[in-house]
Amino acid sequence: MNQSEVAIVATGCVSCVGPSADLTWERIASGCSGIKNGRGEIPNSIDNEFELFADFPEHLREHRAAALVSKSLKEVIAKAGWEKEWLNEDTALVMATTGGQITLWENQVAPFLDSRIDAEVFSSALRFQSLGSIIEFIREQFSFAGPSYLVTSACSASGQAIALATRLIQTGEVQRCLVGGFETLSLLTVEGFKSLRLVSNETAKPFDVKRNGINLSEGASFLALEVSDEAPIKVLGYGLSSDAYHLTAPQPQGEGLVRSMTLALDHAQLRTQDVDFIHCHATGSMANDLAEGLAIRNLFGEDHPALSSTKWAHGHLLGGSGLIETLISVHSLKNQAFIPCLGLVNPDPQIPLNFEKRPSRLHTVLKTTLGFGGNNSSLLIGIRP
Amino acid sequence: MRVALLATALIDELSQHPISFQPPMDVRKATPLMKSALATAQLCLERAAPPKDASMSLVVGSSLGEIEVTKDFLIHFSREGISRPFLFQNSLHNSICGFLTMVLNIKGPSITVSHRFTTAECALNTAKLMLDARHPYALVICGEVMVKEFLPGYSRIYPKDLKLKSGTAAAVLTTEEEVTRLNHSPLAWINKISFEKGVEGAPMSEYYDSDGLEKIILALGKNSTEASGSPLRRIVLPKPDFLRSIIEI
Repeated sequence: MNQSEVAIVATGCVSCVGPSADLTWERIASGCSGIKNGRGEIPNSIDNEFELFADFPEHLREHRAAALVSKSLKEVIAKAGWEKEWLNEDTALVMATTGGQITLWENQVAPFLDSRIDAEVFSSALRFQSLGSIIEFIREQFSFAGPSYLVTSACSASGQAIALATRLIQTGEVQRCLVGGFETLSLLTVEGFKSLRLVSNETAKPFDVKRNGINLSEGASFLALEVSDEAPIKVLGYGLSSDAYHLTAPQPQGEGLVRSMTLALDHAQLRTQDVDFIHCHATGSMANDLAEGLAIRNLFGEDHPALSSTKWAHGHLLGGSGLIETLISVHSLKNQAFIPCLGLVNPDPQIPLNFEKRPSRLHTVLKTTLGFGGNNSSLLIGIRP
Repeated sequence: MRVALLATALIDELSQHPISFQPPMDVRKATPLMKSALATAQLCLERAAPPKDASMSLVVGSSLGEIEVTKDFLIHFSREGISRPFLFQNSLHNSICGFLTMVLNIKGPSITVSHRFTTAECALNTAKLMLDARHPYALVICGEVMVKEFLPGYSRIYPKDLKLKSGTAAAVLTTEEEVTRLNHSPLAWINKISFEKGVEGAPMSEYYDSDGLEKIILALGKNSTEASGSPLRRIVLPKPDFLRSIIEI
C-alpha cells in the first residue's frame, strides 16, 4: 500500500464558467468569472458551445442535476481512456452533494400537502428525495456495476469523498475510482442561505475587508483516480476533523481546520514548508474566512505558502465545491500556473496573512474545506519529485 | 480488511434509558431524529467503552435525512413567504452528524452518507475505510424518520406489503490491532459487505431505508455486550428493488 501511487489521471467538469474541465480552467486562468448578479447559474443552452440536454434521455429533461453529472462524467471517463467494461467491481464511484436532485421534488411538497396535486404525481417527485437516487441514475445510464458511495457532509462532502476514494484504492478494495461532486441551485438552498444572511448579490470577495457573503452556484465535477506510476499528479495525503463547536459556524480560531491540515501533512509525510500553495475554502463569508485565515496563520506562521480562493470565478457549489477546487488545483499543477484571488482588493486586517505572495514553484497544493456541522477536510495533492 | 463490532444499540431499547445532556449544550431545539440518534449513540458508547483519549470517527447514514424539517421549511416558505434559518440548518442531511459531534465532543472525521436502500451498508463500509491508526474507533449511526403526511406518496414508491417506520441503530467498530492491544471482546467481526442484484424477495416486515444496521444487530442476536460468540457467518438482508446485501461476519 503506497499512498503516492494514487494518481489523478483525468478531470471532467460543467461549471458556470465553462462546459468542460479545460474551458473552466482556461477561463478562470484568464480571469473570467461565471458569477452574474451574485449567482453561478448554468443555462440549458449556450450558442455554439453547450446544450445541457443534448444526448440526454428525452424523458429526463427536467433532471438538471443528472444532466450536469452525466456531461462531466462522460468527459472524465473519455479523458481517462477508461473502457466501458472497466466500470465493474474494480471501479468505485464516490459522489458528493448537499441537495442531490432536490429541484425535482421540493416544489411538489406544498402543492401535495395543500391537496393541489395527488399522491401519484407527488410520489414520482418524492422518489428523488433520497440523495442516493443519483447513483441509480449513473448505474442505469453508464452501466456502472462497481461499489458506490454518496457523501453528504455539506461543504466538506467533496473533500471527504476524495479521501474515501483514495482510501478505497490504497486498501486494495478497487483499482480505480470516479469521484464526483455536484449541486444545483434550489429553492431550499437559495432561500435557506438568504435566511442565514450569508448570500452576497455581488461577486464574492474572499478574505476582503468588505466581503459580504457567498455566491451560490451549480455544476458537476469529476476526478478519475487510479494507481499509476506515469501520471504525474498524485494524492499525497488527507486529513479530516470535526470542530464539535456549532452547526453553522466554524470554531472561531479554526482549531478543527488546524487539526485536519496537520493530519494531512503527517499522512503525506510533508512539512509545512513543503506546501507551495493553499487553495483555500474561503467562501466570502465573515466567519469562514476569518477562522480559515487564523488557522492557516497558526499552523504555517508568517512564512506561509501562497494563498488563493477561486470562488470569485465559479461560486460556491456547497457539497460540490471541494471537487471543482481540487480540479482547478490539478490544472494549476499541470500548467504551473497560480490563480490569484481576484475578488480580494483590501485584505481584512484581522486576517494576518500575506495575499501578495506568489509561489516560486508549484509542486504541492493543500486544498481545504470547511462545512456546516463543523466538518473540515484537508487534501494534499502534488507532483512527487 | 476485517473490523471488530464492539457494541450495538437500538432506539427500541431506550424506553428506560434517559438521554443525558452535556452542559452547556442546549438540545431543546434538536429534531426527533437528532434526539434518537444521540440517545442510541450514548447507549452504544457506554457499552463499547472506548479509551477516553481514543480518536473516533463518526459516520451517520440516512437515506431521507431530516425530511420532516425540510418539509416544515418548504411549507413555511410556501404559505408565509418566510424562510426560517433554524429549519434550514436542521434540514441538511448532515445536521444530525454536526449535532452529535458537538454533544459527544467527537473531533475525528464526521461523515454523513446516503445511499437509498443500502444506506446502512454504505455507512458501515465508510466507517471501515476510516478506521486506521489515526482514528482506531468509529461510531456508526443509521436512522430515518417517517413523515406521516408523505405515506400516500411512499406507498407508491415502496413494495405494497412493507410497513414503513422510523428507527435508529448504532454500532461502534474498531481495528484488529486495537482489539489485541486492549483485549476487547467484540460481538462479531465484519469481514465483507457485498450485494446481489436481480434477486426475488423484498423485505416483508417493518422497514426504513437505513435499517440494515438494525437488521444486522437483530440477526446477531441480542443487542448487548453479552452476545459474543455469535455462530452466524453470513447475514442476508433483502431489499426493495430486487436487491439484497450480504454481510460476512
